[in-house]
Amino acid sequence: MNEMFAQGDLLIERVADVAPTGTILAPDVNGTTVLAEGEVTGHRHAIYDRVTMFRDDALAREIPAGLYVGHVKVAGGSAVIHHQEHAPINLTEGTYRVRRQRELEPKDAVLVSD
Amino acid sequence: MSLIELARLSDAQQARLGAYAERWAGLRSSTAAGDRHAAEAGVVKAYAAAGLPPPREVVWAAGPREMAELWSRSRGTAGDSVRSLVIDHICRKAEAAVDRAVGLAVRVSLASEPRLSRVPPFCASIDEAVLRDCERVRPLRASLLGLFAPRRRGLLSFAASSFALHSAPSLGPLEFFHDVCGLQRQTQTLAGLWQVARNAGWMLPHRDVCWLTDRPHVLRQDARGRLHAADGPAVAYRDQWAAYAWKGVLVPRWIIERPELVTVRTIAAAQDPQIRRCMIDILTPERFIAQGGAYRVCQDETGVLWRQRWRWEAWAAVEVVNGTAEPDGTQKHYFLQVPANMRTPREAVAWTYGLPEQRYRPVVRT
Repeated sequence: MNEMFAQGDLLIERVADVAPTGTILAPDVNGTTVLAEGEVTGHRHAIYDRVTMFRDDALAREIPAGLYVGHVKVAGGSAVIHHQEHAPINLTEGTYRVRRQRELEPKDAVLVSD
Repeated sequence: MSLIELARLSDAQQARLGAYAERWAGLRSSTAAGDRHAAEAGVVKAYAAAGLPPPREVVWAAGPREMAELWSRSRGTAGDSVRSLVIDHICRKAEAAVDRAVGLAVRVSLASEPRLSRVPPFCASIDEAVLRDCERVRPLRASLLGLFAPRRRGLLSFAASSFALHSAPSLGPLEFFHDVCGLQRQTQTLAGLWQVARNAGWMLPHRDVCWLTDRPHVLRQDARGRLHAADGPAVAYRDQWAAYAWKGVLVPRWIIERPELVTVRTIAAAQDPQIRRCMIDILTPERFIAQGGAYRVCQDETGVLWRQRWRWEAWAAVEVVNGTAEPDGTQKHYFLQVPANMRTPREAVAWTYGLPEQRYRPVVRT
């Protein structure tokens, strides 16, 4: 079973180490890789260490639409995911797949027959 | 011989894609007043592109509801509906011509800019609200004799006669192909419609009269582009017509304007499952549970599962505790709404991440 970490509304799972493919998501001007930004609070899940973030939908086929955030490759040391409201999570060298949490929305409500 | 004129976008063309996406996204959500003269000139061009003489009159309404009323009172003096000629046919023809002229790589580039290639969900909600309200509006017959006359062609419903310019899917991409990619031959017939779309909200073209409306003066959406306003109308036009919405669901006015009336009792009395969910959202799942709205199903190390059943519908939420304590030592509780067929809290939390129950085993949770 893959090693799995949960930080608030993000789930990070270690996957087989792969070379970055698809779209490379560059860090911001300060070198920070932002995994996800809070819609309401503005709080964010961020990595200040040097990592490579990329998005390749072919590597996330079994993840329901809209939940896949991207892959993070940590090379040459470790990296820490920070968030204002949650304790940091330490990632050792390797590749990780990141997904966000969902909730049932009012539009998804349906009548049940039982 | 290949008919492809544009195999892929050049770097310069690609660079301008974002600007067009921004422009059309801005137009769709705009509440600014348009230039009425420019819109009227656009109508003349659009009719000419369809091979029609200009309408005898362009009539402005403050909103689609008022437009429907004016249209119904026209009593057959406006001629037949020409929507299919002026809008549908022209758009379809240009879409097909561009489709033949561009390569797969161009389509991929366009899909990479969803603000241009996709109509945001709030547009469909506005249309749904307007059409629901105007569904029964029909042009009145010119006279009593009209009641016995055979049904005339062109005497269509409001939905089939009117056109919401904010919901037009292809006008933005086709303008990009016209202005930036040199596909003028395929798209030049749209010049009038672009001009109308830049300056008006709805269009209802008949042979002799073309009705136009201003844009809404209130339009609110959430971060996901859904029609949503927690404290007032989500969309309102200057003719006093307004609609209320919560996360893309059209809801009755009182749910938004009188949230104190949203209680466990009124939630149980709701008929529409989507509206019921909105009511629980507004009350908050936490208060809904605290006020006895749901019963506790079971608890495990991931959280507590809550459920409620009504006659035709069931609801469930999983209560989870933040892995990290607050500065005062307490731990925040969250309630996540999940499908009602969840059997355990672990299955429910796993569902929130799109995982089967057996695979959700975090070694660290903060």
